[in-house]
Amino acid sequence: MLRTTPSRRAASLRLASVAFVSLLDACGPGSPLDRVGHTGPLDTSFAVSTFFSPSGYMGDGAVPGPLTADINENCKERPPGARGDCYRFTYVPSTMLWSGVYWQYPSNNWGTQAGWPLAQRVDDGGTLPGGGNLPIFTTVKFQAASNLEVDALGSALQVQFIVGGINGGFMYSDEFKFSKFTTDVSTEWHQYSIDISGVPFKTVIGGFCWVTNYPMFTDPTTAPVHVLYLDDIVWE
Amino acid sequence: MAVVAWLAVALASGTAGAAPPSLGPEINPYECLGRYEAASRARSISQMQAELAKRLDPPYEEGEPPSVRAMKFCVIALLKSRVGDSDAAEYYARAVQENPIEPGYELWYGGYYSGFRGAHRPVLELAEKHYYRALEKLDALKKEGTFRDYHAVVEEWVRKRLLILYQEDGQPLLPWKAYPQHPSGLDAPSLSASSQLSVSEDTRDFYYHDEMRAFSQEANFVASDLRARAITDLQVYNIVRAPMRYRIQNRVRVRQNYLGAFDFIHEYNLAKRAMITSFYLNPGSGDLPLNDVKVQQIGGGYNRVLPLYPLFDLRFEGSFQRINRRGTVEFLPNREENFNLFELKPSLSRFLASDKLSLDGVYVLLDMADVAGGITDDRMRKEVIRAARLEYALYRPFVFPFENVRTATRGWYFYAGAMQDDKVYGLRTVSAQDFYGGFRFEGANVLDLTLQGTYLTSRTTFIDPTVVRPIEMTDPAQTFANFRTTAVVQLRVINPDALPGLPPSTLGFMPDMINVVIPISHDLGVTGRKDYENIRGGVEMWFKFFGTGIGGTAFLMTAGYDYQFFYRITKSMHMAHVALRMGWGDL
Repeated sequence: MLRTTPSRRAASLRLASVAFVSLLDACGPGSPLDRVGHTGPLDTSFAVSTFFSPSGYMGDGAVPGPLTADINENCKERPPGARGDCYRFTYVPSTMLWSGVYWQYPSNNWGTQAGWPLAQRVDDGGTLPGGGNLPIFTTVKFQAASNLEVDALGSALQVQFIVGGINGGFMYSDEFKFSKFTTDVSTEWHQYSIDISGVPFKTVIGGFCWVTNYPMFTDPTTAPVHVLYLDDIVWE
Repeated sequence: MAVVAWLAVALASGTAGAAPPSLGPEINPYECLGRYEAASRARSISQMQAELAKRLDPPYEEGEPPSVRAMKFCVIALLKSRVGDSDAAEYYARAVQENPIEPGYELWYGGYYSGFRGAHRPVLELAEKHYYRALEKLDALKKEGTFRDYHAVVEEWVRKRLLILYQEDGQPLLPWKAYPQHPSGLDAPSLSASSQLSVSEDTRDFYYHDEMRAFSQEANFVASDLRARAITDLQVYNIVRAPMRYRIQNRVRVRQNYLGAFDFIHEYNLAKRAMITSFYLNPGSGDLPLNDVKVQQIGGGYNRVLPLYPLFDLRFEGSFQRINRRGTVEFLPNREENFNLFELKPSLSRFLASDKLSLDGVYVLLDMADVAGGITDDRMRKEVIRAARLEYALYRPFVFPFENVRTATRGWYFYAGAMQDDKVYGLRTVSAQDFYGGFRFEGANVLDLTLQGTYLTSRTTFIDPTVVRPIEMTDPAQTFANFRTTAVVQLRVINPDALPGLPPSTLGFMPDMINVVIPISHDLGVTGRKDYENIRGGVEMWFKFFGTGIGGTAFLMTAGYDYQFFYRITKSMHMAHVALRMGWGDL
């Protein structure tokens, strides 16, 4: 009969423990290190939806109900060659008469955590007095449409689009803010771009944002619902 | 004592008539039980083994008629079952072979598979085979006019054991395996419906998740960099809540002796105002934004105990369910999730002499779809639960300090286990671990006692993809551990084990069990937030009865009240729960 000596027994126990733990581990969800895509500073053109989350609901959207988002479903027919996710935001006005959404990194980050670092280039064009570094990105492009037809004055939905600008007094903030105000977001896709060149910044929390509002004293119970379609939001 | 009384009646009613000439004298099968009890009562396992050795050398005398040999083999088989010999079944088979017309030996043979063997559940298919054979032989004896008074007791015991064998199945919808069973029921399929309705207003959910850990996780998340970064005392206080919860579990089970049991499952859960809608809470206010959680499950399952002796008994239980869930996504209380749930619960069990070792495993995968939108690497959602439990059951008799005789118990179970629950939110994983150990002492008479210690942890790990070479890190703000001490005292007002036959019936219903349960627990903070340390105590009633007038359906009613005091935040909770079960599964 095979006798198991104490040392062999201990080794067997260790082996069994390792096997058991390995089995448990193998049946687990796996390491996030195996799932991560891009690491390190953002260094090439990207779709905002890859690295930022539309998690920062503001105004009437801060509470569940008035502002709903459909992501990659119920979108308007996508523009040719569109990159990233497509969005449909439906805004039923409530008490504040304004609403908006920030694309944040990480999700829901209003400045308590650091944003994405951006690859830098040396400012060799004399943009910065005394020289320095600038992000390699110069433009944020996107396509927008709405449910409003263009009126006689050429106006439709008025929307302010923003890049950066998260500064809630927390440890981290965006050191920059670019915006574009437009009043002609209509039923047809229209491409817009925001120039983000010429200003030095190294990180970004708010990769994109939109804000819209109703005129003061609008009765929210009778005001029309606004639908905003967004697609192909890209940093270049 | 009741068993002894039954035995006395059965033996007294035995008439020593003439058996068929080839079998020898007619012997009451309770003679076997009586001899076994005489050889095992107040004896240690080694003394029983000595008795067994004597009876095996030789098992019978030369020239003894088959009916005597059958009885002797039966005693050996019962003793072998008691001391855990893996070849006990061969001796039951030999007893049946020697006296093939006696239904009592089929009763004991069936009892071996329903009472001794199995992994947390009886080896149902083998047990029912022998019980139905007993019924068949009883019918034959009636036809031949050799049905004795003690055979009426055998018949009653067989029917009671079949009732218990099928008690989890619920209401029989087909007649073949319904009470009172007939010999033809063995190969026929059974179709039964089970329904369990539970209502509670409790800090603890139906899955017995640790509430101190759950509340601490919520408060830690609120106070983390991911959310509001601060939490007020009032918010800490208000996180303790006991939502109204409703659950109905429906199951249709198809059972067939060769195939096992197939289940079709539906479950509906509703928890009113149970989920925190936004972990930013309400700035400047103590009110919690809460929403309902609604979960529907539909699917199928299979279970069976496979006797693989001399190795072990293997219980296999698995299910696949489709889940529809609403109310668990933060900020989106109306967001519906649809995903698959896979569950595997294997158990192994084998005797080590008279003791029994069991190993249970659980693997649950909630295979959720990735969320739409959000950062690409953060979209993955998944939950994996893995658990293992080792139990060592002492079935040997003990001499207790307060008694001078060796006393048999219904088992002294020592166990230890671990559970890991990983919830994946993209590159972030929220893990909960339980490590527990304890014992459950089931006394011979009215008292059961459970004492358990559980060390519970939770932690959040994540990687930061903004660095070139990320490593997995732990968020110290969300690291938590507590220690739970649980004591459960159970008093058996009506002890089902004391009634081997059928209890008296009133209007077609037979009360089978009444237990009073007193659960007490204490949660002590070990690491991290200690706000939710608490002490809890209560009382529960468990009442089981059989509807013999409606096919033998088993009903289990439970009702209880608990009081919980969170002494660090000075908050008291009064809670109640009630459940009505027609058939059931794991309780």
